[in-house]
Amino acid sequence: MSKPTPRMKRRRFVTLAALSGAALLTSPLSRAMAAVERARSPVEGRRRAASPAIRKEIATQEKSLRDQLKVIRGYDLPPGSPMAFAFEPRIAARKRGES
Amino acid sequence: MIADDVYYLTVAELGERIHSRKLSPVELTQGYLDRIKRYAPKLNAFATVTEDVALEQARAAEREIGKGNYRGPLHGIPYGAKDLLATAGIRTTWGAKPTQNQVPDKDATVVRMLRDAGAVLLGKLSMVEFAGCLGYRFADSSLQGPGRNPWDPERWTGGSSSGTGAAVAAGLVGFGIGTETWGSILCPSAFCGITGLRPTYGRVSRAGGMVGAYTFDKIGPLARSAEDCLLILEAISGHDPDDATSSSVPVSRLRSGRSAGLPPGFRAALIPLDFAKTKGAEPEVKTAFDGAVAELRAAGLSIEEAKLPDFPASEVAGLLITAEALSTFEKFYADGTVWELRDPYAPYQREISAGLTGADVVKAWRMRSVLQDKMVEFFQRYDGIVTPNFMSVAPSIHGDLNQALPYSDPVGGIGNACGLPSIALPNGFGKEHMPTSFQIMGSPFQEGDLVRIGKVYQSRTRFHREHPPQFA
Repeated sequence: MSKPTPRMKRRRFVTLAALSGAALLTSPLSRAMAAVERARSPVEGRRRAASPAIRKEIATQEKSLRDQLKVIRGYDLPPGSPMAFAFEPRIAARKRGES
Repeated sequence: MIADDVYYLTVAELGERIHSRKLSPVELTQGYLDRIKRYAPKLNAFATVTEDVALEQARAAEREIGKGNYRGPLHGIPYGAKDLLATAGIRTTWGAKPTQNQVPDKDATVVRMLRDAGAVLLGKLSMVEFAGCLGYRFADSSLQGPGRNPWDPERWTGGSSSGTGAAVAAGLVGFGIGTETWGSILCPSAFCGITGLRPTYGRVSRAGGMVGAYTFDKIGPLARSAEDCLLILEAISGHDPDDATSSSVPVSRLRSGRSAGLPPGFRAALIPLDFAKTKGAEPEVKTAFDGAVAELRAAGLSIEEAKLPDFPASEVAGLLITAEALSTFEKFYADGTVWELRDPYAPYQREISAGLTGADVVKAWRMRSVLQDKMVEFFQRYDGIVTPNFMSVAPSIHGDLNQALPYSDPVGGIGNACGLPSIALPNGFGKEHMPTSFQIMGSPFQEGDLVRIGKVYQSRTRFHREHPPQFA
């Protein structure tokens, strides 16, 4: 059986810290306020604050996308080169003379 | 009382016993249900067990077969379906909290076709949330918890068809249905030591299945032999008016897979991978792969080293999957429920991809066409590609998957961007007796050839017959 990695321990710690923080926010008033906030802006109400670790990973993924885009944008194609799919107009089933 | 080894028989073997009435579909179904109760929670393999449906379908199969109305090799065979295939009146979670209470009112075409073939639905199998199409870094990115591998439950099953891989490997179902956008059939097949077949894009209707990435999603079997994969694929293939992308290439083309022996004149390209210089690659996997190549050569298969077209296939596939998935799951970003996902990074995908423009997507589509041309040219010289599935065995469920699997997928970008079929075959054991696997990828609609090679390989080896000892 393998042991949890140090990274996992850290994640568990972060989760526990978040839970203990959440316990402070469970009074009826703060719950009601949170509900109002959620109703006001559903997306922002659910949004979690990005931890430094997550911010770091987002930056890594953004760089990865930039690298991908560099390859895509740098690939030389002649104007009008074909697409990998063909658009087809759809034929309507209506018969002439019908209302 | 059914002996434990019966639960590990192939579909072909189970079907033969059922057809000759030596095995009762009701007893077999009840036996699998008992095993599911005992073992599935240890593996997080099932999202929903459909006990009543299963027993009803099994009783119907038994009655019909008793009257001499045998529908074919899947009649009375219990199976599980990945929990992104719609099942009428049965919860279909897509492995994700925002969609955990969905109850479709219509079966997916694949589920209907399997019912028509007489197969018995044991339940819905766990999966990575949204099939991983918004990305995932941890094994526990699933509503049902991390996919635990029957060979070592502290290791991952692979994803996103995690429950399908576990259930087949642990003998909890006769076969399973999975899906692949990029790697989701081959990866769990490899890590769980089972046989999986990713069909050609369009071979199997996707109507009623969750859309991950429109132009990449495929539905296919995970089973205990190459022969089984063919039997299942024959039952679920064909054009479907409910899926405009389903192909009208005749299902009868699969019949070539029923023949014995290697496909005549088949020439395979071996893509060499540098295990010594690749971070995370394990030498035991290379040894197993070399053994498989030697076995196929000894069987008479022509295999020669070759080079794939020099083309940024992974970039094209990755960018298009991202763009399609962000559009597919737009609703969850809009209503904020994306924050309910377990993966901590998925909610940020839209923000991460903000630099992606419409022109980039169209460019990637044009590049995909160039890649297709290059692969058409490649397949004029070779009929298939032989390569390891992964360069290491299943990683721990506790770590960061990107760190545990740091190497790039050698043919996944090409295979999925071009919609090519591929079969995963177990070929041995690596570190800590975890399964290893290799794949044979073919040109479009040549699944029959891949199955024939798989059958030859499996007639000469026993790796597909090995079972995880904890679940024997």
